Amino acid sequence: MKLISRSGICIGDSFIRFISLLTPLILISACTEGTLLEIPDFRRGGFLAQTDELPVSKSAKLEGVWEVIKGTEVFGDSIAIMVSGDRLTVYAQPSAGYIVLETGVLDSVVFLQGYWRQQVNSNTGLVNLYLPKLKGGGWVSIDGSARPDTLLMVGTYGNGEANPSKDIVLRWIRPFSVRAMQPYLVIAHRGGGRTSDRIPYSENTVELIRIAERFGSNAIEVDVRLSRDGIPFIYHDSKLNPRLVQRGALVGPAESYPMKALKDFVTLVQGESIPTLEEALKTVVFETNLRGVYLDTKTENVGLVSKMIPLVQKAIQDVALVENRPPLTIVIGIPTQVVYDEFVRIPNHKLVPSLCELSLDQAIAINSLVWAPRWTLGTQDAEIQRAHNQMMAAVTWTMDIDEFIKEYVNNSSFDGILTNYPSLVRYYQLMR
Amino acid sequence: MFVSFAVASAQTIGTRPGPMQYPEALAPYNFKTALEMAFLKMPEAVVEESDTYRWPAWALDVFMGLPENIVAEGKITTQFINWHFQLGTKWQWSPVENVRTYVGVDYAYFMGGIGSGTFDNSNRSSFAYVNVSVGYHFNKITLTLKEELNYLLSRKDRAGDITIRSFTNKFNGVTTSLYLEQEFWKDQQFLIGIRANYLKFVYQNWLLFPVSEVYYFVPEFVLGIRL
Repeated sequence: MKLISRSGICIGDSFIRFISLLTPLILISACTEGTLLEIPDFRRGGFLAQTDELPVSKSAKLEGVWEVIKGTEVFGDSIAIMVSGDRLTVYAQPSAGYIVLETGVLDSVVFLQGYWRQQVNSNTGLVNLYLPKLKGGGWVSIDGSARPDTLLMVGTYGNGEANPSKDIVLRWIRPFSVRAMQPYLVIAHRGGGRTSDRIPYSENTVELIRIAERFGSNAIEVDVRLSRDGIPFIYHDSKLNPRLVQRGALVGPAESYPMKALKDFVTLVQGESIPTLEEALKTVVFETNLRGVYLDTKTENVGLVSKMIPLVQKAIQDVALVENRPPLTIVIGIPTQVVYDEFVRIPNHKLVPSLCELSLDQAIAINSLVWAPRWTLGTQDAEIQRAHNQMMAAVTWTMDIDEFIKEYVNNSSFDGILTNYPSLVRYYQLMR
Repeated sequence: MFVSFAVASAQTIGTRPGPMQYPEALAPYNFKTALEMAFLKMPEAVVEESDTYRWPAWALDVFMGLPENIVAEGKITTQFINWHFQLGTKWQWSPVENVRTYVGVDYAYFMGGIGSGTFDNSNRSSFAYVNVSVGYHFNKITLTLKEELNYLLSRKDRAGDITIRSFTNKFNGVTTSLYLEQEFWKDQQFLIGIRANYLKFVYQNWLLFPVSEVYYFVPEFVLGIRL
């Protein structure tokens, strides 16, 4: 094909071919998001497969603030170690870093094995650590053993799946301060983090909720929508888009489909299915020790709030069925005036646990349990004091910037922070 | 989406007007000017529910010849709430017939701001772009490959009275561009190209960029014409 311009210049085949080549190239490349990150794992269970299990109660002896003697280039000068869900997690400051560890014991030597990750980038790798018998291994693993003067953890870390080869040495400095042990809500955004942050599972899934505590959170926020047949489900965006779901038969607004269709025909980017709110709450109650759930009302479809209430009540009742489970608070989010207006029309709404993102006066008017202003509005100490006087907690959202997390954790009166980087909030909270 | 147009003119004194991005020599103190229009597609991971396609960026690009095969370039790019001012120099070299190269450095200052509704946000950033271009001149068409290292010299984001973040000196990524230029209308040159950005921070979307420091692939489709 040839085109002739008005000046008589021939626009040749090569030009047309160039355009033909470019357009699909751009379209194809634009579809590659690259939001998946392979979390490294030890083959055949690594060395830990040869050790005996170490109960969490014993691992908890390692909790405290540790000095990083070797490995400062990745983990900074000091780290905090805390039992987090079913793992022992090391919290570091640089790039929101953390190490998720499993523990085992062999001949009074404590072995720790897992992976490290920096949440704000894609850096990750394997970690091997051990506590020699005379440097804390015996004290941790054998009941009644004397605590040595020095607790020392030594080992190696690596990049990606590579065998760990760089030295890491940690020395115990002190236990957590009284202030660090005070209750503080570390609320993980979207059930544990955003898909775009290359977390192990898709955002807003039961799979992610199960492991949310490993990253430092003790509460989660999830996004709730209403299916066409009136079932609350967990999903952030209004549409079924490639950011969150694999290519499939359904397109368009997620809420335009019945729940069965969403279950049968939609697969999230990491292979999970869209959970119902009921499934998500059951996971929280029966498979975690999370202390809080913030149900962010993502739709203004009339009827969602009233559909959520019985599910919340059922989940709270279920908590009593789980032995030794910490108390759980579930709040219904009121993010907009439209949702607020719907909420106040519900009979006895003041008895419904809610979190209000609007003004404090509106939060007080509906007897919210939590007031949640946006963090860019400042620390608002006077308003928070007023909320506390009403027996109302105050948390802020969504804070991801290191300097501000440090400032708000240390110098504000907020009772918690909603964040995409719970490990970083936990680090600053434990270092207080 | 990619269908567009542009207008142009050329003011090369004493020489035949040439293509814009093709790294040719320019007689001292002669000018050539082009208007560009660039469409950018942001990663869905960044924009989430917003449209991945943005308003096109309009750019006015001016080259001026200097002695010793040096070419100065000034470029203003805007998307109305974004203004990017770029200034730099390039050294031109012709290793063999029909092949031309530029090696240069550009500095840029970016201003972004939005102050309507609930927004009161702004961004001020500065960049250094170290670039190499290699072009081949076919009969009536030039093909130019440009490789650019992108350094974020400083960045400051504000929301109201709060400085959200401020930092200096970070390697920001690379941009590979491929341009095809051809005479289109009398002496005018029409440009079509792609820019493959592999960057942590794309200034056109400063308002949406999260804290994360991963590289995003951001393709651009460029149309331009010599004025």
